Amino acid sequence: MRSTLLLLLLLHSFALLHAQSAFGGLTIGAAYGIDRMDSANLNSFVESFNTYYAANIKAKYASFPEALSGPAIRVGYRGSGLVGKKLAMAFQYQTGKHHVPRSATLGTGLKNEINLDMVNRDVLIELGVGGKRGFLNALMQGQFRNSTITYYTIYQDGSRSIGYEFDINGYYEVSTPEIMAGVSAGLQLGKRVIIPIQVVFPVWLPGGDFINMTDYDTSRYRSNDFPREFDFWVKDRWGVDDGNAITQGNFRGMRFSIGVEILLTR
Amino acid sequence: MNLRLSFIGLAIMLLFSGCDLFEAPKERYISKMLGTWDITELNHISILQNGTTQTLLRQENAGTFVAFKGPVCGEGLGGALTYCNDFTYNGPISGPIRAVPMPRQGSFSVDAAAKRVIFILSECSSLIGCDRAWTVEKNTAQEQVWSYYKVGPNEVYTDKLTLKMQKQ
Repeated sequence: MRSTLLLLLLLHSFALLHAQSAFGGLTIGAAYGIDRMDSANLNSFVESFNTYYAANIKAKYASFPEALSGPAIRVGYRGSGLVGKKLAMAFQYQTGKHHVPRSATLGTGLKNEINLDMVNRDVLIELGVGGKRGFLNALMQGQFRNSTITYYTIYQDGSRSIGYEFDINGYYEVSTPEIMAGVSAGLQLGKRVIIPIQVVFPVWLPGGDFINMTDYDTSRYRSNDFPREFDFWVKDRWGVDDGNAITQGNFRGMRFSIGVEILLTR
Repeated sequence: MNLRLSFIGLAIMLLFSGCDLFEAPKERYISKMLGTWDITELNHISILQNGTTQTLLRQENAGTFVAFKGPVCGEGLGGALTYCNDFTYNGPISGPIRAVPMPRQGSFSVDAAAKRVIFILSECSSLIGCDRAWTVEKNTAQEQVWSYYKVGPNEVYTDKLTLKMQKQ
């Protein structure tokens, strides 16, 4: 609550700063973006699962894409032509999500379903040059990406279970807090509309790639991590191999977005 | 004018900041569950490989589930408190064909996304592998639907037990 208030006061102070700007003020907007991720390990799971059940599978898992696309919303402050009419800056909060479902049907009619959800919560800080028409900024982004896999077994009558009757069922999650850096450029259309285009690249994952995607709410002898190789995971009944896991690093990647922002205040 | 608009925007955002948007779903769910729930329907079916189902037991007004704050057992990650012995179940345990896998009392929890209700140590007393998870099928402040599954030998059939509950 206190941090939210501080953030809002900070945004408001930006709004007060823009008195002499070409344009600037509190903004609300939407963006459509492409998030890349390292899907190789997820696809190792898919391939190993399909191979493990090769003799008894009606429909195989399809592979995961390397890039996910979807909308995001954005709120904050943006200004251009500040301080001597050359400075441009922005401070914004952005959130968006992706959902990728995959399913495989076994010979018995049991269906396995993976629901990959990725939620981004980003803080964007931009600083650069700009005037009346637009801006070109360096962009630093604190990205808090929460990735989850909800793994269901779907029975022959359509009932969906996430219970413990199959060890693979579960709710697996991992966060990828990342410092990203890139470029943001934009044009002003009319008095209140801004079209920003942004590209950011992952530069620093604090602490390195060391957290596995885990189901924290299950208690079993087998590993609680979401496996990279399904067949090794099946054989590893006592959960000895903690390296056979999807990790936070598998969800790192470049982001490209194009958006529309509306100046609420001028 | 600009300044006035800017303050109006700030006031609207302050209004929203009063909501505790970051409360964990786990805590929200447990808070919602506190109280007495009538088990309006208990339905025990068997799902066969061809997709048909057989009803093993169906009972209306099958008892109550009472959730309350028991004694504090420990502190989880982020300072969340965990409670012990925080429910009682007053419903059928044995059906005509197979037993209902629900203890009379104990501790329950929920996963981080409120997709599973977990009955802690309900199967045995070892620290590992003794919990039971029920899938949350419906989750509102006034109505809960939970299902428990048990796979039969060679996956020929699967038992599904469903509790429909209304808050008193």
